[in-house]
Amino acid sequence: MIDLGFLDPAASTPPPRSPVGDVPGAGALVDRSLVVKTELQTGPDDTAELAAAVERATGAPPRTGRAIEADGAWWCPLTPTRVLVVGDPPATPAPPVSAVTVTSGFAAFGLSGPTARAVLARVSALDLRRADTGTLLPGSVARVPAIVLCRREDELLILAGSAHAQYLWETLVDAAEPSQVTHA
Amino acid sequence: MKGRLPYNVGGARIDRSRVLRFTFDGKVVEAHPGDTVGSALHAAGQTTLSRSFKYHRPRGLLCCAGQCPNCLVDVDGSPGVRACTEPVREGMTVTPQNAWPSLGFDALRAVDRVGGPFTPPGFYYKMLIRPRAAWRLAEPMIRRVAGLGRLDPGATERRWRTDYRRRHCDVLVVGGGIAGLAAAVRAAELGADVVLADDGPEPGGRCLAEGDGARVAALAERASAAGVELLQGASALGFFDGLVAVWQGSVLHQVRAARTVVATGAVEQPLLFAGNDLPGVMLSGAVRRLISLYGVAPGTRAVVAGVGDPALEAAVALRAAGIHVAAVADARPSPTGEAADALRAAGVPLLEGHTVVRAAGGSRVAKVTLAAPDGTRSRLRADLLVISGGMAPATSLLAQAGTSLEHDGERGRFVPADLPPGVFAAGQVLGHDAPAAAELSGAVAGADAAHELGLGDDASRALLAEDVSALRGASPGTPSAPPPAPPKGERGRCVVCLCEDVTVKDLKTAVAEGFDDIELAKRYTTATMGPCQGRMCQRAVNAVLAEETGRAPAAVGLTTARPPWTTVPLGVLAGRPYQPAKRSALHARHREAGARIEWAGDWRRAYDYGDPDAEIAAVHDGCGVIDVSSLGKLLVRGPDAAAFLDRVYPNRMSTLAPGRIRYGVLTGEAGRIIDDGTVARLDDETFYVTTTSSGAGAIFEWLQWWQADWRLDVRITDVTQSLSAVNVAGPRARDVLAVLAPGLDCSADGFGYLDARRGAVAGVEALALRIGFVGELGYELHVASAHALTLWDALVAAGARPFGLEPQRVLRLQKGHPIIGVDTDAETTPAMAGMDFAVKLDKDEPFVGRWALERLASRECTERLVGVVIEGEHVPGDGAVVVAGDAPAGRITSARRSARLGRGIGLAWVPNGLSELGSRIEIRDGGTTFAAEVVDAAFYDPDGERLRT
Amino acid sequence: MSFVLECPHCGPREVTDFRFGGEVRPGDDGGRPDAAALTRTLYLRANVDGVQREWWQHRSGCGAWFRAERDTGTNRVLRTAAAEVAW
Repeated sequence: MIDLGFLDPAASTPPPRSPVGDVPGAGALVDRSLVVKTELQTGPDDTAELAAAVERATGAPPRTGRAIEADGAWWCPLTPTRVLVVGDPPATPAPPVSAVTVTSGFAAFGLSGPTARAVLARVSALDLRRADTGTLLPGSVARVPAIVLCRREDELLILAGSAHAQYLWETLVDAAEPSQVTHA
Repeated sequence: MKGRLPYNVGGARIDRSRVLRFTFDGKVVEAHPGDTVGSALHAAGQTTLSRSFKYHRPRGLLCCAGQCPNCLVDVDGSPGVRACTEPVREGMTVTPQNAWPSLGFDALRAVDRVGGPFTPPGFYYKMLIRPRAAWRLAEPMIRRVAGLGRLDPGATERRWRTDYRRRHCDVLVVGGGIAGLAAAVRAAELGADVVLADDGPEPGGRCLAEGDGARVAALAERASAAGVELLQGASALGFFDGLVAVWQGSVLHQVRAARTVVATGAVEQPLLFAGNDLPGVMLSGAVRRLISLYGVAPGTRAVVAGVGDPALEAAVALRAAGIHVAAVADARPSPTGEAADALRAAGVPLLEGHTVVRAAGGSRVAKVTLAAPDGTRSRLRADLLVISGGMAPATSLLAQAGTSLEHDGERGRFVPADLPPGVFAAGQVLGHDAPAAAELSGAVAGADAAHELGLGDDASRALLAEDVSALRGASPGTPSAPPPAPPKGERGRCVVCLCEDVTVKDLKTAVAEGFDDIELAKRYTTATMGPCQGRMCQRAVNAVLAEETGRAPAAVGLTTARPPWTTVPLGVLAGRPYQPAKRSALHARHREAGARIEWAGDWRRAYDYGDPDAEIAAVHDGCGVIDVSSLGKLLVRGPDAAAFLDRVYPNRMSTLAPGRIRYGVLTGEAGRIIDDGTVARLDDETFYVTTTSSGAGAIFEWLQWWQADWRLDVRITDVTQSLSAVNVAGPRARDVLAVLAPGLDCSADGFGYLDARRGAVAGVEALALRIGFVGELGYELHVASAHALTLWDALVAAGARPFGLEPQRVLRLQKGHPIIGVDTDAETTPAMAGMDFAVKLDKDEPFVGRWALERLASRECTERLVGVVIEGEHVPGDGAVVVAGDAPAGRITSARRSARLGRGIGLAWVPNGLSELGSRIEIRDGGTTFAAEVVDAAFYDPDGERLRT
Repeated sequence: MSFVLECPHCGPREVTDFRFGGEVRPGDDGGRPDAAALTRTLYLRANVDGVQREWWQHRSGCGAWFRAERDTGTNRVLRTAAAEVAW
């Protein structure tokens, strides 16, 4: 198994700065882009192995559209062959499942508070009416590919490509304006 | 105020205890809070509000409901505002439109007096197209007098901010009249998440002015209590495959409802007779609204003419308000019902079977001519002519959703026939005119929608069944008659399309000239193409055409319904300005260094850092560094990775040794180049593929497609954004790298051309690829984006000079490297671009494009991409034409002046005959001609010594 | 064009979330096609007015390719299924 350390920010010194903390208030928009992200992928005929790996880690088989929290990480099944783990990286899986660190590839913004859903409704067509803890919604946000993870009732984590970080941040800040959401 | 009714008569919306002032046409006008501009002006005696589009005929309040074009005025610099619905604000400046020199005396009315024979439909084509000189004079004049409102380009720019708001819901009800409210209440009480959009200032629709105010108020209360989200002042603009756009002030709601109930009501239609557009001619609904809502006397002496109960009810309301009604003409032979009885009992002449044939007056109606069934005419004095031509269901949204319409001959109108799945209708739009029936039909629609969503129970279904049979048995009221045909032989224009001044005569002319299909007649005469979009005249156009062509109205049909249903500011549709931009992790450094930032596809990139010539020289003589983070980067790994790449690329990738790199060209199934890049083998089962920046997304999707088809045991991860990449190039690049990467063997033997190596550079773990896009010794360093800044800063500190996209363009051009998509197009094959070396037709396994490439191999290329040297100091622009003889034969794809070579160089497509080395070609760019010679495209360092050192 | 497509993995989304991948065409048998067959494969489409089987990719979401059956006249989507599901 090749060492793909050049993808992993933790492999280099000095390590990058830690993410910004929470800002208390009616609503908050927080940059959490440096949370570790790992992609687990398998070949088309080995989906059972990937499912088993997910079940071992989280205690339940994977279901697309639902994320499960386990050991400080959210396991997000995107398709039967791809799972994104957001948070502490999982133990290196055995083949045929392979893992790639994609931390730097995604920007991650936390949008929380009672107005979080209203803010998102300004820039996204995703249906959050029945979203609760663990709802996983890959789809377009502000016209860019994204994944919305509902960590708690009114705590959303929006993941998008890191190249769109500045654009998405500015768009979310602008969308949050009428709702009096503070941002940092 | 002279036009106001006494204190206790009508005026439900106004606050008579306070007075507001605004100006109209420079004069101060008094109004009450709650008034509209139209009601206040009418009360003040200003009955002419505008001039019509073509003939500049005086126009006044007709519908008082925001449907017709007669009251369009300019409010505080905004043109095209409907006075009849615009609320009065203290200090408003209202000015008339389309009148010169004044509203009272419009000189352009001359067109109406004499223009008739000279301004038939299509007159500017018929009258003014020959001689050509006439059109050149006429056109600017016509443009100046055309149009209604005026936009002042010098006015202060207004900032408009629209919010989009996505709303998913169970049921959307469009229209907050009695039917819509009933539907919303029923659906919500059954547990549905309901949104109700109503375009009025308060819910209730026409019931507010017609005596059922309490009933709708109670329904509105129940709706609120049941949790209905009520959007007031909200117009549904259109129905788009189930998505309904609702405009409310500065918010555009994008509503996606599981079920939609359309309760948009009906639009009262005028009648066709001579002089039918005079101020003082009003629809019955306008009269009811002026009295009930605004306490305004519509006139002093009225004649009423209609085809149904609404006209009779208006007559009753006028009398109750103390206004004299001289006569009521009802086209029906023997009208019955409450209103008819009341009028007869009061001694008002109720003329059965009579129709109005003419209204005469200067700038206001003064005399009305009625016709008896036998044709006898009678003339009456009146300053108010109340007309009612029936209610035409407002079916536009339903039609957009795919509803078919059928013609109800009894009442002369089109009603919905088949509703598409997921769409329901209720109330007047379905033809239920009586409020009780409308309310029942609303409840039925709301229950149907909720039940379809799985809500409700046996009890609710039983209630629904009761309501359905009650609806069937409900009295439809005394039916109205179809409107009478326009009279013949009366003096004065009979206007069909009020917005565009299209008369009955114009429509007949159109038919006579062959434009007898309603869609053709519409485009030829412009009828229904004005601000009201046919609300006032669609049905009349249909009736006139049916009469003229001898066909049934159902056969003539209506024109296609299109969004927007109501006039909407462009700012609302423009909405939030989204412009997704991709930026590399190094973006801040480029800005700080003063780079010129440009779009390159959807990336923001540094074009140059202010001195492109010096940047180029740095790469040739020292060390330069460029941010190439936008390159596509894909990890392809797994037991079948090598096999997968062999099937995707025309060359062989499986023979690549670990630690080695190969240039790859991707061809589509048609054998044309779609992208290029490099493939580096990291180990047996792991490959690192790069693509062009613009191709990154598309190629990843394309590879995933093949993976879905072949189902090989391979995993593909897009790491384009996970990794940043820089190209460090120049004779000193090795030294710079060696200093920053002490653990890496950077010697010529240890790290040769096309080698891939791993190691820490400036403490950052990197994948280093030794390739040569810019023609000098160079290393492409790929690192996790989180550390890109650290790497960049270290390289710059060690002496690497940043260079941008434009210097890179020149450098690669000097090496003759084509850029896919710039120097090649969708038809380019590898052979045409000199990339035959990348196609291995002798491979055993099939690969994408194989069959096409085999066939193409047996054919001679008709044109080739060649290098050219341009004579002279200047170079043609990219895209300049290559000529042979005097005919275009090819084009320059890239051309630049190379300071290092001291010449202009370029890549060009030339036909086969001209592609031999040494051929002389001619290039034309605008008016300038360039001479050039075909040479080997590797202009600089042709043997690649500097590259491979 | 504003209809809703149901991604087999992510659920219903606006059509703008997706990339259209063309008609589903019969797979080739692997053998070398003659000129007419190759032309048909590369350039000719059935382009039905009615229910069409087609490829879509959830570009803004999970990125998976899948098939759909859609009525090209009304834009009603009858069903969707992941690529590995046989129809």
